[in-house]
Amino acid sequence: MRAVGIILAGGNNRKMHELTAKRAVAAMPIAGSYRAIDFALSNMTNSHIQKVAVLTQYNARSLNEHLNSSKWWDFGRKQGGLYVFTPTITADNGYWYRGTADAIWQNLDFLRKCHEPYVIITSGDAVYKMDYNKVLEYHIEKKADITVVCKELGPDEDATRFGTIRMNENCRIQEFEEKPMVAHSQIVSTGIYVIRRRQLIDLIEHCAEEERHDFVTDILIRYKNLKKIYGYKIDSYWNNISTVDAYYQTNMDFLKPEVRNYFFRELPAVYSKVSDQPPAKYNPGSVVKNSLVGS
Amino acid sequence: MFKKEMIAMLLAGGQGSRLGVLTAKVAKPAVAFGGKYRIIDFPLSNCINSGIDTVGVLTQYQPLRLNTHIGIGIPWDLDRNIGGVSILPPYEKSSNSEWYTGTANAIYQNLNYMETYNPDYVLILSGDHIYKMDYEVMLDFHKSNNADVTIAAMPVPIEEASRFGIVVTDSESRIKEFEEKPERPSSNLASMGIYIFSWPVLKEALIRLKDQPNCDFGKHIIPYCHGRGDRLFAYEYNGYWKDVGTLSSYWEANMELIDIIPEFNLYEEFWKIYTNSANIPPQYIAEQGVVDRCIISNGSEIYGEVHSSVLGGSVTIGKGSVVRDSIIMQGVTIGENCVIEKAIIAEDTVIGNDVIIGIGSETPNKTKPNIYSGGLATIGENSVIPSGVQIGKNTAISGITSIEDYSGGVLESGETLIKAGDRI
Repeated sequence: MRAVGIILAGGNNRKMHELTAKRAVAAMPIAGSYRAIDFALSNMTNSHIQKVAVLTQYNARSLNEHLNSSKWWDFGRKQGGLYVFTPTITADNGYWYRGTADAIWQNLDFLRKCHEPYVIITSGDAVYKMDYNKVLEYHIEKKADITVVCKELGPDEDATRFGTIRMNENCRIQEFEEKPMVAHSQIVSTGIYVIRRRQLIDLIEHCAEEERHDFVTDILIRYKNLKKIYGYKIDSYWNNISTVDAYYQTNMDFLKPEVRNYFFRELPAVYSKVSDQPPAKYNPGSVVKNSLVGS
Repeated sequence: MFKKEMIAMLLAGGQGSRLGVLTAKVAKPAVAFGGKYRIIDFPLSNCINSGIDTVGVLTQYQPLRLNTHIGIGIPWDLDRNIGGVSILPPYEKSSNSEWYTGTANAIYQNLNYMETYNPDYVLILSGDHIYKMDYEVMLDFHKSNNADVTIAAMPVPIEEASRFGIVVTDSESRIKEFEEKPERPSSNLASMGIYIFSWPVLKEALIRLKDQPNCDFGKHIIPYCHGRGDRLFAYEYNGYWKDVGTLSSYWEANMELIDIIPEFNLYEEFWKIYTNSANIPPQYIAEQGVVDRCIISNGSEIYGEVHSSVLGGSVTIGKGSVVRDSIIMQGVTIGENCVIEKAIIAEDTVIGNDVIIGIGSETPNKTKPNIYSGGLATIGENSVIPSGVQIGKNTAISGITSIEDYSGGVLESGETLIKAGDRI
């Protein structure tokens, strides 16, 4: 295997209000039948990435319950598997994850022990389908240090809750602003990155020495003139669900036949934990209109 | 040496020919039931819910669907280090290779499998009944009677008793007489085809009767055990138990599930039924869709009307179509403006637009009146029904049909239309 996967699913999110009072954003139900993290996990397994670490911290009970077996996503192999990492106290660390880079740093042994040359990093709160191998091929072809998967939002969409990006004609990233007050670009980072494993270990170690903890501000933005950081633009469906409005809109998107078709009927499939519920039953007098029902 | 107190042997090799085109390509235990399930899910779930974690599934007729459905038993938690589920097809031996020629012969050919687990008791099950039963309670009954054989039996209407194996018991439930399909039944307690044997008794009987042609539990093993004076007991069962061996009983059992409080309730948290289902996506009911008194499984898309029906997963019902009193299995696509009444439509069949099913009178089926009855139209898996045709009652269709196959665009009641070849 050419890559290991890291899914960042630890973040707290005040923008979700009560919805995430009892669960992590990555455990939010989507389209009646899924949890948000199912999309990242399914993409990993469908891209033949067999070794995946999920980094969780905030309110992880519901998420851990969802991940209590790895077989639903076809992990649980002798070569690879699904690893769930919550912060632990060790001889040289007594902190919670202080940021995305710190979360990776605290689990650096996992990366050191891997033999796969590349790492795919993604977040657990986005709804999309992606073959990471395509991004990896692009990454190799560009001889990039880091590749950032990005998407151009529509002119009316709010880019200020994302990292906004400007690239040159070769797609090398020239400007990267994290959650700017005013967005100068509608191209946003999806939080999906490809990076060589050795490179990532070096950058993360360096970060930790400097007491820096955030992957975006302390690595992507800080190194963008030094390292070759490229953008990989996608046109396919991608939505981050981490605000109440975005969560609602993403769910409503599944009422569109083309979205359902793309996610549910086109292969590869999206997997989830099997719940063993009987099929939905509609008793006399039921009225259901333009709705999704999961069971 | 491994040790399991009780193991189950599940007979799943029968064709179930009375289900007509439904079992043309799959064994009866693999036939879909209740939307997302298959018939074999019920005994398999009963096993794991009763604490039996070692199950041999004996297959013979068209086993592909069964094999893929069962896999290594993950949905039923039967993927175990020791035990779990094992598929047991007939196999070649150094001499005397043969198919399974009878229920007991099939078990006899797998003596080695049972021996591996060194059981005290062996539970014999058949894979074609719908019921929930705690086999552990039955085992307690077996032990407390110090029985050699315990037969699960249920009271049936006396006029139907001659279709079953009938047991006559004394006040202690000990079986005094056993009659296989008697003309004049002397009791209404019918054997359900569920047996617990003490292992030495079963082993001895199977070996003793190994040369009996078509060796069968009801016809040979039980009478043999009874004849030599073994302690045979009847475990009376009064819950829901349904033989779905005919199209009419299969249709009725499905329709019973949609009652507001069905006698057989799938919606209890206790005693869950497990299945291997690839259908995770939610179902979609469109703005103009109507869902009224029905069961619909995941991934279906309803643009038309569904009344009093049971739908499997990933079914599409087109705009303006009305489905009533029907069983529609997984992956079926029904076009627009169809009217479908009292039909059983098997997996992945495609029905065009403006098709009307269930017209005309209840003329008996001309070729197989005993199979295609009850006014049902039965369509086999992977069939194609062209747009604009009309189909009568007591009919059967299988294969890729085109408009030329329907004289005047109509398949009259009582007709059968079987086309060879598979859809590409």
